[in-house]
Amino acid sequence: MRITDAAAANLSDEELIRAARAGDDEAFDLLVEAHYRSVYNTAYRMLGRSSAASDATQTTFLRVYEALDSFRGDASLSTWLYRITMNVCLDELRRRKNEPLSLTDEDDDGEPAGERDLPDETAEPAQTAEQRELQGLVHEAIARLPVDFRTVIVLYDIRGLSYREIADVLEIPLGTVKSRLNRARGALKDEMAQHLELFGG
Amino acid sequence: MTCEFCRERLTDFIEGELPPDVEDQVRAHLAECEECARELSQLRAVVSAIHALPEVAPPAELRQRLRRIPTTAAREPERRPAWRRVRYVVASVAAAAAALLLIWAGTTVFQGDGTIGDFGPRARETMAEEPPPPAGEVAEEVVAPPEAPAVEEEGLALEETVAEEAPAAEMEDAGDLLREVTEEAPPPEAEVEEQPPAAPPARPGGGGAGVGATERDREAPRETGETPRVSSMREPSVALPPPPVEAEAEGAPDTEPASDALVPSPGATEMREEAAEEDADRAEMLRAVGPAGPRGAVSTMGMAPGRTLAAPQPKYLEAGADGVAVAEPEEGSPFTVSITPPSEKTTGRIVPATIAVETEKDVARAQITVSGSDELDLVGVRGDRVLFDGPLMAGQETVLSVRMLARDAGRQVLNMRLQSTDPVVDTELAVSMGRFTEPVPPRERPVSFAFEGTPIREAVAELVRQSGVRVHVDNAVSGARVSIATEDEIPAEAALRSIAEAAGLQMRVSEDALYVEPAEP
Repeated sequence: MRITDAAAANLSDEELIRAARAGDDEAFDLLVEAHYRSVYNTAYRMLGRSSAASDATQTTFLRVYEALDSFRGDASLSTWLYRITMNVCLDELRRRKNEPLSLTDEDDDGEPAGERDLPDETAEPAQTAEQRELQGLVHEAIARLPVDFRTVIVLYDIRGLSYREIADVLEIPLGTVKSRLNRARGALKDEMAQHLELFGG
Repeated sequence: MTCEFCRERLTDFIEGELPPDVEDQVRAHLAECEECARELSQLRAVVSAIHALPEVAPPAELRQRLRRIPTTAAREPERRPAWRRVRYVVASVAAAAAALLLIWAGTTVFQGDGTIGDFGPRARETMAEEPPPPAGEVAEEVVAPPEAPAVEEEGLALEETVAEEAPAAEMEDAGDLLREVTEEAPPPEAEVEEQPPAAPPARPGGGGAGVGATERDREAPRETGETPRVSSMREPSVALPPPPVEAEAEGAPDTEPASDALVPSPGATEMREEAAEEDADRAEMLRAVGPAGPRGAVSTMGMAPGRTLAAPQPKYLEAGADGVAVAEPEEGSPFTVSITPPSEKTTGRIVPATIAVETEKDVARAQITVSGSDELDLVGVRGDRVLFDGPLMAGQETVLSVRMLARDAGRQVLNMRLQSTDPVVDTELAVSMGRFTEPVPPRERPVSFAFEGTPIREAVAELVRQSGVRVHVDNAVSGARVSIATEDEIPAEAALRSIAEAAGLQMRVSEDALYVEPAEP
């Protein structure tokens, strides 16, 4: 469906970065095309809201653009991107903390944050209202987790990174990743305890 | 094993990350500890619930924002087209439901007269390279001093089958042949020859076309090297100074003056947009007063680092954009883009809609035709925008056929915008039209043919049809016939040279066209 995906597949990330560094904005755009969905989805699960995820995605790629020269290739591009994305998200979360009147509050009262971002009915006709409701609950429960927990859940369970990759992204020991994930899942289970019967727990 | 020890390892157990001996211990514990077993099943349920979370489609406008990063990061002063700021319009989420709009965009690059909004049939559809000039321009060509013939020799892959002299006697009706050439070839050579030579360019104030001409005269000097601003559709008879050569190679004539002329009196659409722009401005002002982010409060597109409570959020667009698929097709392949209403509330409703189509860079022009909705009318063209107005049925497919005319190679993006007042819809989508490649100049385009006693004009017409190259055939040689065939495809100019020689004629190369003339004695 997307030619740019195909185009990006033909050029390795390294080649694209080299070209982008040399001033080829088209190459940079191919990098963006190849990775922005992943960045957006990561930010979306970290921040809970679509607008915040969009802003974070933009900030991430802005930082990537500005830091192209400093990317040394000792980490994979994906690791580097995830690291920047996470830093941007953590900045945003810190900022929210200092700003109690921020618009994030609105997610706590009215509509579930995740609901309007769920795929429409036509895309997955089999999806029931119950499933959508559950997804909204999970999304919210993740958004309520302490940031450290949320981070590993998002990276491991949602983005599918390995323990090793997460350790690289977050620059923490492998053992810490494991124990943190275990506690994070436990915390998420507690968050969702009242809804567990929904999914046969 | 204690329960604590077990629970600390449940995630690793689920993930199969435990050493075999520990795994066995955990399994053994789970078999006898009901509580830990319940914990495990709950954890598994949580994990599968997380895994069931769908990948979320980013809003379409995000892609646009990201595309602009290189320019915003370069600290360029903001120079957004005003209408794009409308994206910040605040509309209620409840009203987000939009019509199901299916846009079919054929990505064929075409060559026409380059007039936006001209729905007439195209003479041909090839890479835009050499637009047929308006009559005035042609007239200029005739009086232009002929250039010295190019001397470079092409390696010919031609095989001359028969090189017999063409009988000069058999005079065919030149007029008919000319028409034949004209019909098949976009550059109207017949007209060229019938034009009174040296028609002086119309001067400003010298008639009805005065205003347009004045505008163009004003613009011409500062647009050196660019396509002169001509609308061949509306003012086909206005003679113009000859365009710079690069301009001709660049592509279609610009259409701005004509665009302005086509715009109806500013209607509801424009008012809405103006109001929206005001909103956008307000939004930006509000953002500006917030605490400055790392890059300054208003420096980057759509970023609101200093968000305040009062700052309107582009809430609707998020909601509306959820169902938007941005299709980026292979060049030349049809694709669909659909805006799916997030709620079913408006399905089946008639939505008064305005669709604006804008090319992202000023390097391309869009040619829009509509099918699927007879009631969608072209209401105007302004600058790079094409506006359609009319009722759309929510939930019903409306097909827009979009064509682009590219001036430059590279990727082109169309911004489309769907607006309506009831329900309030204002959504945008970007359609990437694929990567346009640098067009092959007509003279280098490959041709192949087999002529057997073919009248020279017919042979030339065939060559012109295949390549789009411009050829003048001297009236004095109309009786010539040619027998020649190609083995492989060869470049048009080389082919014409061989055709001319096979017919006992000669080809002369000029900047504007190739000439087939009697051989020099």
